[in-house]
Amino acid sequence: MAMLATGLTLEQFLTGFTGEFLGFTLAILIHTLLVFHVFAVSPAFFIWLERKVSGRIQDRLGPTRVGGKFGWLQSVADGIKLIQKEDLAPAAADKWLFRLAPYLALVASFTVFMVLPFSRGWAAVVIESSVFLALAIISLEVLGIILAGWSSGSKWALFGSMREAAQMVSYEIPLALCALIPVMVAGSLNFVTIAEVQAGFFLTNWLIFHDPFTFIAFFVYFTVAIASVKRAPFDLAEAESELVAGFHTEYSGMRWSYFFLAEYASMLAVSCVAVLLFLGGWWSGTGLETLLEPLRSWGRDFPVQGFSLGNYVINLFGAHVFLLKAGLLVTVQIWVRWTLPRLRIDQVMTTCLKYLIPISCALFLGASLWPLTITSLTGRPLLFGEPFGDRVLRAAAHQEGAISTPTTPLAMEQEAGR
Amino acid sequence: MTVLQFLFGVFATTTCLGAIMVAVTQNIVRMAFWLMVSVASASGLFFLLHADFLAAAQLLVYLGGTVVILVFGVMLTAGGRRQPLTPKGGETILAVSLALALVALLMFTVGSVDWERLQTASQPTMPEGGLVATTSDRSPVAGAGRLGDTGHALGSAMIGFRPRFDGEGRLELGTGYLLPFEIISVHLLVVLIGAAYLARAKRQIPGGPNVGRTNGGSPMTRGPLAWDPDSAQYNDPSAQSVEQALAGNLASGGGFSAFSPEEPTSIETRQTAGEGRPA
Repeated sequence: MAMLATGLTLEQFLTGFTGEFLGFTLAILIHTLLVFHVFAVSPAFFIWLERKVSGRIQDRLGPTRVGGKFGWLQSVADGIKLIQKEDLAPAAADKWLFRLAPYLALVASFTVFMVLPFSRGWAAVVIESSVFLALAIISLEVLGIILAGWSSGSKWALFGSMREAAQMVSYEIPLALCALIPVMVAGSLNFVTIAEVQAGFFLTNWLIFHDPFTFIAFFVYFTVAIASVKRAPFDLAEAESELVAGFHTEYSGMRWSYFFLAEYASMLAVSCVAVLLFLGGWWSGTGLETLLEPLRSWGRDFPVQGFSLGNYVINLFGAHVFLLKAGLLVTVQIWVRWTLPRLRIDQVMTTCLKYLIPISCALFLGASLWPLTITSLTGRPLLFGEPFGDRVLRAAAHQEGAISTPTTPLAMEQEAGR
Repeated sequence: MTVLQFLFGVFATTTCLGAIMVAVTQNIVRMAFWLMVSVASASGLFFLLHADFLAAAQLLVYLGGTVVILVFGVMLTAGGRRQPLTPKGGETILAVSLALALVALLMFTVGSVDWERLQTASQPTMPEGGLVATTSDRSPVAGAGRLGDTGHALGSAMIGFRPRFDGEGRLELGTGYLLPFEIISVHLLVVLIGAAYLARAKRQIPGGPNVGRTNGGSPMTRGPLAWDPDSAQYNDPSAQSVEQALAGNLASGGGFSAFSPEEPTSIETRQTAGEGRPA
């Protein structure tokens, strides 16, 4: 649990004031509230965006009344309506699991945001295997869906959740393989390291432009990510034309909306992962940060390391760049949904098992052979930009003074509490 | 009580609670849920020990993989949803003796470890200037590496790079695990191909590839429909076409269609097979 991974963390700062237990709890609460803010507000925005974009694509206006010209309060109105609805559970349902299932889906999609860095040092949890952990958590949302479908006691719900299970189990494989390609290029499973090596000009330093294989891998990843968050054209789990509403047929009110909160948050989460792995993380890609680098030392670090005014402003800018890129990817997902027709379930499975898995295996092999080939041809391990060792070292150097390994037993235990 | 001890208490309690509830619960899907609780809490314990890679693997493999497969199995095999799983007399004796044997094994293992020596050995004294590659090693990028970088250590150990210091402070390199790992992978691949072959063989009914699916008739596709005896449509003979469509949908929804002998090329063929639902 470290808002700032270097130097004095928020938790250590609070512990100094209030004692260990209270400081730990306060740090947890602050981190959770900040991450929950992103998690709760972004779906509201994206639901509104989905209504507007779908309206425009279908030559309609979309919401126009609530909250002024663009209907920007539509999501709030939706939320108020949903809270007022009766919380029903069918007689045939396994009521205990039926009530529990939406929370499982919600928690799984919320937890992904825990490991995502939003800017330099702005991450709730920094661990070495964060890419691996994020992929593991993304694949857990299906558990809530399966339990929801089974416990509803309705065949439509059961069919929907069975489809979702089949789809998720098979799409996990190309998702992990495509995420592994930038991991292999950067030589780290850590989101922070992978994002730091992409600083600088986008054409040379972003991992999507590193070699032809990472370029294709991004598009494969994005396709698979759409399927893994069960969006059209892969939304077989809730295929309205055949399954009434799929796994959430029997749900109403807030519990129903939790599934949608989870879906839109997952859309943002997979887009954030795509931005971190391929599209340069929180770097604008213009070299602007390099120009502004002297500004980072402006002001003094209070209350925690790296929170000086200059640093804060640049990090804030980085976070905006990051969320803007992720938001653009979510917009593409919405655009795809309202453009392409839904596939049939056998087509969905064929796409994954017969095309996407072989393609991602070939991309993985190609990306692992690329440095060898290019080194023997040109004498350099990559086409453009600095070698990755230099980038990692430069990223390490910028906070040379800030490195402090926790040495006291107290600090070690706080580490354990992350 | 420190934060670490408190969190250990929380996760240890939920791990044990989940495990006990798995044994006590009668409903098989609720059992799966309690197994999830137990497995996820065990992953929390690994996080507390800074074994972040192991914890993530626990989430991905055990929670994400095994439980999904378990739920799969439940839905495809369960005869009736409200049928309680009460063990018979012989099963009880067998289960109790197995559990007691496991407890005895665990007690023996725990008792045979010299915990005092382990505690002192966990803080090794490095000779200065020595090559250090312990799990507490930092990653070169500031803010990226902290305690618990087990990914690099595991990867190095896999290919045989396991530098550690023996009792006299000498550096020694261990053996790698690449060969055993590859052998296990090939085993898994063999199992995967075998499973695919078996799943495919069941679909090949002598009267031609499509005949078996006409009535939704193979036991595999038909079984799960019996899960809800209250369903009026299933028992109603007039709902025959609905049933066929459902059987077809389930067959394709079960994820087996990739192994099906025929290509889903023409809609006409599939419609005569009673399962075609043009999009």
